[in-house]
Amino acid sequence: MVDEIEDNEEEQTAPRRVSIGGDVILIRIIALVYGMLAFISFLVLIVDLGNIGFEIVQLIGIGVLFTGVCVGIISVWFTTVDFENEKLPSPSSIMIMISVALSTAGIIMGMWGDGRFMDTGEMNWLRLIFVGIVGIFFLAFIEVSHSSKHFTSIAKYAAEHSLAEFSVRPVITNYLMMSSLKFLLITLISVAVLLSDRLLKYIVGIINPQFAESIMLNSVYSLAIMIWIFAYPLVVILLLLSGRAKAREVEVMAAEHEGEFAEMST
Amino acid sequence: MWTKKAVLMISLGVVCLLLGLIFRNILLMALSISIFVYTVVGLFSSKVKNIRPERQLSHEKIFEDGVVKVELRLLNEGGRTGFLEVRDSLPTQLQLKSGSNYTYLNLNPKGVTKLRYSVKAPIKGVFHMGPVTLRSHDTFNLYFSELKMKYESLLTVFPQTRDVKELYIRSKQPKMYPGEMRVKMPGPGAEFFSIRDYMPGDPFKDINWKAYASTGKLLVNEHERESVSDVTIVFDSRATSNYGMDSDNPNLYGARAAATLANFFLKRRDSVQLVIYSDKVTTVKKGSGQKQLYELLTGLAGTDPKGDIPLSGIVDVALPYMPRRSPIVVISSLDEDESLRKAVSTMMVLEFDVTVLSPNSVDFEIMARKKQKKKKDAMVDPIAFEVLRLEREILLQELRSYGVRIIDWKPETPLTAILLEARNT
Repeated sequence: MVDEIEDNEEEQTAPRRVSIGGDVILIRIIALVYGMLAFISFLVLIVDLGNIGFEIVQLIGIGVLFTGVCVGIISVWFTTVDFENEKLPSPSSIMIMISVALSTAGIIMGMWGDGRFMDTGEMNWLRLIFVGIVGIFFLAFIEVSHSSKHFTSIAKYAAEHSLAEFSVRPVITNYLMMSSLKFLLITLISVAVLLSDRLLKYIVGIINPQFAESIMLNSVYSLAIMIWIFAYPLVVILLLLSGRAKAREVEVMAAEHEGEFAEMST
Repeated sequence: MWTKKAVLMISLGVVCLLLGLIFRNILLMALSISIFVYTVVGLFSSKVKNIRPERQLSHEKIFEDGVVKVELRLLNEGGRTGFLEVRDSLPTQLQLKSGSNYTYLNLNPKGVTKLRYSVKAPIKGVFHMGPVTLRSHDTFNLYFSELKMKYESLLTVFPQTRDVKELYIRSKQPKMYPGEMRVKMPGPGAEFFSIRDYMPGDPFKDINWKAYASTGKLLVNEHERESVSDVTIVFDSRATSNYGMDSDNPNLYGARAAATLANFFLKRRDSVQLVIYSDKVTTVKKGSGQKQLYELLTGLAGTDPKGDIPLSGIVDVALPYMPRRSPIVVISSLDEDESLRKAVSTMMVLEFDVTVLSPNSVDFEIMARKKQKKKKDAMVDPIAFEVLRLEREILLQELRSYGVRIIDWKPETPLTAILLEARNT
């Protein structure tokens, strides 16, 4: 047993190769695409809804948002870390946070004081869907930017400490597949939540037509009510399910391995 | 469990929601809805896979400062694992020397990988390596689920033994078998003891011809008897033996001394028995040879400083099993035991050859405080320690007055030097 371990000494000390640039580059490109899509769709939204008559604050807002997206692009594309003679992409967390902050500020200023961005009653369902899609693009930009950093740190750590062969490529492939599916699901649920605002208004209109025409149900407050109605029970149910599944899994694993461990220890 | 990223994203969602409400901004509201849905969807698929670990150690029993190579084999018995983190938990007393006990995995079905690392064990003990912890994340790294597999391996670390040339600890009551321990009486042996008149039957080779030439009488040389003996080592592993630091305390030093003495006596073909007292009394019955050494070392490795059984209790219980007039080595810091005087006087009355090897707990504590002082601003009160030193000195003098051989062991003195002192006492 000792000899067997010692024989592998050479394998343990062999230098590791990282080479994840090719794998992560795809993630970086996707992050940039999402960032640009978010920016362009935002422009489309305010041009469509604002009817071009911009105020100075809104123009500044567009500029701030553009700056935010640019900071994000620089963060994703140009910040790297040196590791074993290789430059690995590693977006700076501070830059990502600045990018998010600037983008949020840009959104606020870009829609500043325009009633058509304040009242859901002013929007038809198609525009409401488009608003949801813009939100998803921003979210996807944040998520994928962060993931490029995450995969870099995994590959670095694996190269430094893991003696087993570890390739980050299947992990990234799996991530791309699963994240695409999940983002589709997220988009559908988000749009459903946004559109259920209309359903709420319809139901309330039957019960109390006067309340259905109130500011409460024709502004962003109705969306807050929808978040409450949808998110709260969903989160509670999912947390309960997740907790139960986890407990069951541990029991199963323990029972499965108990016999084997006992055999090995003897 | 939530990751930092999940917390940040939820915070961002809340901020967007509040800003959306404050500025009545639909897009921010939509963004917050997306973020909340994203965090909820992330709850799916954070599932730990079916991995079977097998751990192999290059040695299961080593001496202090020894290095063990560990190989953790992980066999995937389920489908593709996806991204998985694996950590082989180690006790804090073990130091990771090379490799890593932590890795990332992405195994195919029936795939195998090996995690190799080596650990150094600087202090004695019986250590449990494991459990193996598996952690899997969801796609977005928002949550992780952890599975601890109760798969443990035992690593026994024996206290270090030093090579000692000679010790002046010997029995007053020799046994019938020849050994290497010289007893102060004539008998079979190699060393010169005395000269006496020739008696019929004495072998011719023992006649001292020089003495005959000068005195005209037939005189024979007598040799000092060399015999085996039964030695009892009494090791104090009470909670008070833990003064000082984890790496330097009377318990560790005492265990090393006990191991060294046991090794020496066993090499001398003596029989050695060990009595350890802590919160209970553990006895390794007397025996000799390598097997006995192994048992003694295992006994010493397994001791933890705890409990407060007095020495007199041990003497009362163990004395009937101790061979009369044989050497007893008590290894104790002699702290907080009111029964010491009674115990020692009982042993002396029964004519045991008692040696007390006492690691100086006051000095261990001072050493620990000084080392702490380098890190923090811990003060060492010189007067308090001086009083403790005086109290200890008075106790040692009192015990010496019973005829006990006392060796005061300061932490800076090496073990071999302190055992030489035993010879000179």
